[in-house]
Amino acid sequence: MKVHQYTLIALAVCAWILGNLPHCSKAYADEPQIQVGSKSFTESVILGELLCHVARSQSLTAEHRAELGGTQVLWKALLAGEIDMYVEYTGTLRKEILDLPASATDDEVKHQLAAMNVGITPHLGFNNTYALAMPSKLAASKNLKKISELRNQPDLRFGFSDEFLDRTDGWPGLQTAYQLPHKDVRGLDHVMACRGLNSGSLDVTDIYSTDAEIEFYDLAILEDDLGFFPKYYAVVLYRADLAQAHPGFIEAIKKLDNRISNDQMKLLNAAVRVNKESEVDAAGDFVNKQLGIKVEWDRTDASSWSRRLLTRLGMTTVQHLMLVVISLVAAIVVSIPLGIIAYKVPKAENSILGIIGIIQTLPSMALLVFMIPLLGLGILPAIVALFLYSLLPIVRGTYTGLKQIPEPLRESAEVLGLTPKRRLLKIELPLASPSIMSGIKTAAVINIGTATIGALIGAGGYGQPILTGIRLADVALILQGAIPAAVMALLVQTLFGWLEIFFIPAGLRKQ
Amino acid sequence: MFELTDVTKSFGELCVLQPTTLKMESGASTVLIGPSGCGKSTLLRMLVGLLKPNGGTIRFAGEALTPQTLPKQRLRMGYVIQDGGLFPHLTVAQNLSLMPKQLEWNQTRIDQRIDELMDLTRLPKETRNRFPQQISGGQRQRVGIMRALILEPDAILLDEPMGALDPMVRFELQEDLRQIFRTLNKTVVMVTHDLGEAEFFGDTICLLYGGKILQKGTLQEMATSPASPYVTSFLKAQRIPHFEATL
Repeated sequence: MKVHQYTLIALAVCAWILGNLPHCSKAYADEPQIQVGSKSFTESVILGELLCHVARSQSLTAEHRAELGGTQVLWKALLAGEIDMYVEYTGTLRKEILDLPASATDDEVKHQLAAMNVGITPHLGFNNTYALAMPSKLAASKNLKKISELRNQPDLRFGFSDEFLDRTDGWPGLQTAYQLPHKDVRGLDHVMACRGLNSGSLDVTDIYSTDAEIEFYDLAILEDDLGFFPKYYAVVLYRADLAQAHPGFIEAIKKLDNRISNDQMKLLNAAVRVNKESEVDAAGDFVNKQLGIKVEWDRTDASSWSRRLLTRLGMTTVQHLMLVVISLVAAIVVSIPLGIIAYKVPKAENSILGIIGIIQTLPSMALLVFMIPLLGLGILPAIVALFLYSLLPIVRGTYTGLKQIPEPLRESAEVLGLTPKRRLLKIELPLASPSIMSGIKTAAVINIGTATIGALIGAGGYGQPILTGIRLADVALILQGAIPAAVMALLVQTLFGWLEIFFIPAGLRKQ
Repeated sequence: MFELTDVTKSFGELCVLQPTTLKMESGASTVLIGPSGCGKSTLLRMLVGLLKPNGGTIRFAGEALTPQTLPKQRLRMGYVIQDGGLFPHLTVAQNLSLMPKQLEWNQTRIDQRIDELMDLTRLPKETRNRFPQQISGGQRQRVGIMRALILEPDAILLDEPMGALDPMVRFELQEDLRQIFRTLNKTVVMVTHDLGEAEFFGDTICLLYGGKILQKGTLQEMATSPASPYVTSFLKAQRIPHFEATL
């Protein structure tokens, strides 16, 4: 009878948690009037802060949902109304979002966006296009100035950001347009690529023309002599209904027309990347001094570093635990019955194991992007993704544990005259419990690692400092996410060692 | 107690039991013997309902075995397999209490019944709360027998119950087991491949070969008037000294 009570309590807790999730995903009681999004690179984060400053100058409350996964995450979130605006680049807009030729006019773009209830501002000024960069000394020694000259240097080692490698306006198009023969092309993070150039393990990478790294690492930009790279002027995309709700604000945003030059943007980037200013301070100073808009904000206090560390650690730990625990509990509640059905119903066996196997192969980023229109941003889609990834180990553990019960024991239980229900509860599940527990343990540990991707859709957790740390090339910050995640994984391992005492019958435990 | 009429069994193309008609009297013990693959275990497994015959009928206490009647009929049968078939996650007492608890006996009644059976099978009391892997092979088999007897069934079916025991333990258990069966006056059906054991337990011995009963009777009858040359060679192969002379 005890088992029934525990089951009821567990179900009630799950129901309560699931019922409250929609509230949790918007952690603020008073929803801000403007939600600004940004991609997970510094320039985008700075511009996100800049938009927030402008909103506050209009006496609006604004929230910055910073460092979201990438173009698709931002675009889907904008369409779903999860964010109200973000800074996009005209090249990306044409090719990746609207699938228009680079020659499409601004009016065509505007028209298409309007049909989707999205507004667009004039160019902010700078053109942050892709460029190929290499160490100045290397370029000088080989006398390289133009991209077309790379054709005669097939031995150079290329390392490109993953996005650049995939995009039609990135490496695939570039290679075709310039007939480049290079075979040694690796995909890696943008920051890592810059470091690779610096250490000599890489010769050429893609870079943005406003990157702070160009000066910092003393890089030479190769001229795009065929004019392959499209123009990447920054523009603000916003939900069209914002123009009705806050017309003054949209007017103010539109006035940013041509106000930020390439050099200014490069300086802003350098302020954060090189001088370690916070994005909010760099953007605030720029708005005050360069744009002449009066704004006030709480300056980031460098002296409170240790306090911020503790606060951040506490916050990310709570967020991370929430992601892991809720998704794991839900997965346990669903997976164990699924494992039992796969074992008991031969017809369902292949479909259950097959479908759950397929779910496991879905790339996490694709799954997250797919869920934005349904579940928005924040912890809910992250929990659903983690839940889906937790199914396989637990279903498999349950199924295998039940399958492995020796035939004589299964038959003994049957001939004794035990009812099917009692056979399952008293004999089969207890005998399968070591395998079920190991499935749950595997799911929990994998979950702790996978939950770091939650940061890509604004779910927080240990992924947040890791993401920011990678973006700012700040190892200390990366470790603030990586170390607690490793510690949590170890603690969970230990915890499950203890839990086995309660859930695995004494006769089956290793003596 | 058991009545088989034209019972057949095959696995796919392979016929493991040819049409067999056999009657097992109440209170008598029948031993099924024969070489590996002769169909003796298949026959026993059909009696407890683990296998369904392809043809013919099996009646237990006058009633045909069907999926509907089996749950009730099984309460009147005890089944013992090699090494006891005990559940490793349950203690001796828990293994024994499984069915009484399902039938909602109270704890006093369960405890009394376990005490009785411990005396009957001469199982030391201190094993009561041990797990199967913490007691000896002979003790495990005694618990298996207790578990089969706990509901006071009419029939006990044993599938090579001594198969995993060493000779001395086996000898002692055989003595005890025969004593128990005589005391309780149960119908016993036992499968073995050991002729000595068959003679020791069986009122009637059925020698099976190639999916059919070659001869049914006592060992003496098989020795003096064998139904086929195979019966003689099977007896010879067992090398029982006092027997070799008669053959």
